[in-house]
Amino acid sequence: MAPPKRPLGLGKSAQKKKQKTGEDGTTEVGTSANASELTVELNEEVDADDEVSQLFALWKTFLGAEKDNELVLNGIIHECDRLLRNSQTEKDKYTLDGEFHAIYALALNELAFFHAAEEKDVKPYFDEALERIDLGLSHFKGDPRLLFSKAHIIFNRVPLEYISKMTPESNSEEYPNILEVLDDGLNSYETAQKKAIKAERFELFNQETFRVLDSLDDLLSIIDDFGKKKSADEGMDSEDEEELGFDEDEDSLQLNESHPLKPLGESEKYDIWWRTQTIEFLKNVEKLAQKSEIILKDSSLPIGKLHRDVCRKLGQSYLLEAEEPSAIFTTLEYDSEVEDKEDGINGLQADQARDIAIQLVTEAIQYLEKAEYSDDPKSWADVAEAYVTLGNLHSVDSKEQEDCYSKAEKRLQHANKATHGNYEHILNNLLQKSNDDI
Amino acid sequence: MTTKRANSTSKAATKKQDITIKPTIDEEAKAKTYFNQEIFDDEYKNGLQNSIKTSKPYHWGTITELMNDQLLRDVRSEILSEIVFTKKETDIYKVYQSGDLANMSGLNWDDLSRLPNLYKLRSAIYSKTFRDYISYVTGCGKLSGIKTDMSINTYRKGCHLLTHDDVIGTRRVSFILYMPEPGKTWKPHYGGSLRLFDSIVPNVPKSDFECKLTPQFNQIAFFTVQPGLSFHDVEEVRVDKHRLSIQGWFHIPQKGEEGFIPGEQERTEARSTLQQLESKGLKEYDFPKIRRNEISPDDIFHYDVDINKNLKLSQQDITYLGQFINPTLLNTSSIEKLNESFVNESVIEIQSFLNNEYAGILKKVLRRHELDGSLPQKQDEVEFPWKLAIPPHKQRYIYMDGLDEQPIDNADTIDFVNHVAPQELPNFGMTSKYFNQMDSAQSEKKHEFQEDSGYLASSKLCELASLLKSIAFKKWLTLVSGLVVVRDQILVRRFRPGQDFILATQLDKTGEGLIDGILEATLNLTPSSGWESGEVGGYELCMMSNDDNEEDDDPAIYKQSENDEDVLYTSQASWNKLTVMLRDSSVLKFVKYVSFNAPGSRWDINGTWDAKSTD
Repeated sequence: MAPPKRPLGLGKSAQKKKQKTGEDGTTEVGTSANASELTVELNEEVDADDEVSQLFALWKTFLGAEKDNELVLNGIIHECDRLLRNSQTEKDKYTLDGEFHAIYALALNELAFFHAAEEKDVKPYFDEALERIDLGLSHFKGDPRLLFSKAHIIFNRVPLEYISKMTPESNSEEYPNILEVLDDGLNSYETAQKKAIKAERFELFNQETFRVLDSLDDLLSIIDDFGKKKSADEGMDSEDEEELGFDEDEDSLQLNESHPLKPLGESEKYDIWWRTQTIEFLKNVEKLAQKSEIILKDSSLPIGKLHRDVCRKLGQSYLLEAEEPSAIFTTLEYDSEVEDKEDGINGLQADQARDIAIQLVTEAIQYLEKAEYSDDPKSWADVAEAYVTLGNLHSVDSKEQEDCYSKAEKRLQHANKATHGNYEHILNNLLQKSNDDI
Repeated sequence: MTTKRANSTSKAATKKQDITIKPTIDEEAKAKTYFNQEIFDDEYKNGLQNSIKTSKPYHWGTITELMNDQLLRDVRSEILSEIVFTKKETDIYKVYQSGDLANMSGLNWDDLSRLPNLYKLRSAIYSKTFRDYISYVTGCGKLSGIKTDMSINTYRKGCHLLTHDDVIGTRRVSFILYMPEPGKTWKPHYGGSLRLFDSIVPNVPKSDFECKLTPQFNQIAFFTVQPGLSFHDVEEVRVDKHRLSIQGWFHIPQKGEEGFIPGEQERTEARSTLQQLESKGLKEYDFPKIRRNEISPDDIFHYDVDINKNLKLSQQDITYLGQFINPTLLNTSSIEKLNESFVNESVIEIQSFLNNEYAGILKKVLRRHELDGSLPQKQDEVEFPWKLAIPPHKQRYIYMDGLDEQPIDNADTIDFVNHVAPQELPNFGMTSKYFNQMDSAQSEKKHEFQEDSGYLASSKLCELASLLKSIAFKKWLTLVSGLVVVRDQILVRRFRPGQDFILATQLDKTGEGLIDGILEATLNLTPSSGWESGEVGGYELCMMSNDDNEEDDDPAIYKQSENDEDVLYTSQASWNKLTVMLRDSSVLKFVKYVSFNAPGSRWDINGTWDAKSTD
């Protein structure tokens, strides 16, 4: 073995490199301090010389790195452009499939986010992205990957291109019909889903497709919050949220009949659609796991994480839906200042509101329990908090209530220990509640 | 990441010029009306004076409703709409800071008209009325009205300021006026509290805080700056809320002002913490001791004798090392490649250092202990074989050094450890076996749901520390680094969320016959994920030390490099990565404070070696 050589030292070699840079004007890039270096992981079966596979790997790397690197994104777009041009002259060398066209379109769609702040109009990015989808579909008719991607672009386009420009005074004449635009997205997603299932392409029910549903969920939240006062981008305190009774007025804004978001705000169609499709998505993830003989519960594989993410989202959506009936019940049952209790609120009597809320929270818990992960104390606390909500709906001191509180306490104790006291105040509130009931 | 250099334990104070604002007679007269008038009642004032006199751990006071409420609300709105905050992060703090307000009177009229209420507030704080008030209640002596020193900070989620005593230049009284959202209670679990530390002896703060103030809107806290005593920190803000505050100092009177004493300024400055930190005596209270033990010449012989000829790992070496280390790192061609990289960069990172089987078991054991064990929060909760690294104006973490228990909770026990107690050499192998037996004994009695004692985690980690002490490992290290190591110190370290860090330190000069600098290896063993962005801290950072122009520096100036090029190396907390570096004396290194919201602790095994000079 050759005798080992000796280094100069971290500081001294940096000084030497600095001097060298000063002398000849070039910079040596060391591996140690080069923060902008990017590692692209290629699948084992991928040929490292295959340019299209490299592009796919680069796209995955971009998505995995929180989508915050515009430089990489631009690189992807340039590479897509180059491959597309070359494919026209060297047809035998490149096989550009639906995946390629989808990545090209989605990369353009992502670019709109980087330019949304400083540019007035992001329309060209979305137009071009949809053009790439059409181009792809002209070669691969009905390709589910392209159709999922089309829905994704539409769900991003609505808030970024349209809603961002709207004021409470906006008029629907100034905008395209948002319902029609959205419906185009829903149709595209549904068709994609049908085709993927028919072709047994369950691998398409992956993190990237889940992002399509996520972007619709974000869009619906934006519509819900439109025109509402924001409190200096600070987070809510969990204690502030608790014990809130039903308040019809809240801080919601009544939009004019002619406002482009008016029909959306009043329709539950999109929320229902989101949940139906998310449940369907979950089933398909489970089918994929079954096919691959993967046990999802507590799996550290990416599909395990995806399954938990979807379950958590569904659980949260049921909890959110339970908020209104739960608040109505609390107000009618415990608020002594409310008059005419026999009239109910929003057509609901206390018992009815409670039954609805219990059903929804129970449903939420089922999903949140599926999202529980032995390595994630927050997931235990999420279930615990849902049990506290359920306990609050049951009669004071009832066995059901005690059971709920006890399940919550066990999880919170564990989560609190694992997070060195992060849930201390919630746990104390719960114990206080249990003590008050005694 | 915008980490910049910090050269000591002092607070962020960018280079400031002496400020000269002189309130007009009109402003002085108005100043008193800007305050809550009740604070001027004699009964209140004398009550405050008494409470400060008897306060612990040193003289400090607080007023809950200081200003006219509406004025301060207006100031807050003005700040939020007009001032831009920038995130600043060094080894000692993370905070969003405004620019320096001190020069505000020098701004043009347009700017002043943007901040009229802030201008009123500043003139009130530095008015003679209020300076005399502070002087009276604290008994600190006269305060300057012309040298003002204020900045606006907002502590958002993850922001913190570690322990320091505020002793810089001519500061006499520190104050913080708090402005979280008015009308809402700032709750203790939000974090962001001001915590005061008692001292073991002057200049050495205790590791646990003595008292804690959870601040509310319009509350001011203040204390006399007392060299070596007034240690305090700002607890990390744990939730997604903003704790806005105005931080500042009253300085000693300047020439021409009432209370000016010739020579006082120079004397005050001479007591600067920066100088005190450099005094050798203070290291008495540093634990762990930086003490690299001599390696026996007989052992060195095994890897020194053939270094320039045909040194290689024997089959026995490979079998032993292979129990722990990834076998691909033990073959000749890998070792030669590692050596080549190391020569070029003076630092190498080796991913998947431990073999899969060993790493898999270890990761489970550590993570289980994190999730199901107790995390010591105070000094007396740290149990052997773990020990607490002190003092907290330099470091806080827990560690195993392979040595016996060392009680270090007060000056007497520290004195005993330093001057009386047996001085033995580390024995990780024995520690590992002992705790493995403890674990087995406990496992036999284990109930279904039981807290994890951490015995197995400690045992496994000591086993690895023992590996680093082996002749075979030193031979491998010689082949990779090209250096012959002659002294070593191995520490197993755990940096707990919401608690631990090491501030920037520079190496002492090494002894005769040794190379300048040390060979350092860190085996990263953080079993949780989510550290990659550096947002939750826990990273190790090396940077160039810039002490060339030391003579020009005013001690009041906190050195801060604006140049990211000075960062030589950053390593996020991670799993199963070995970093080897040759750190020479020009390199500063720190481990960033681990956020309360970090996914777990940062764990590592740190080895440092002196190497033989061949010159």
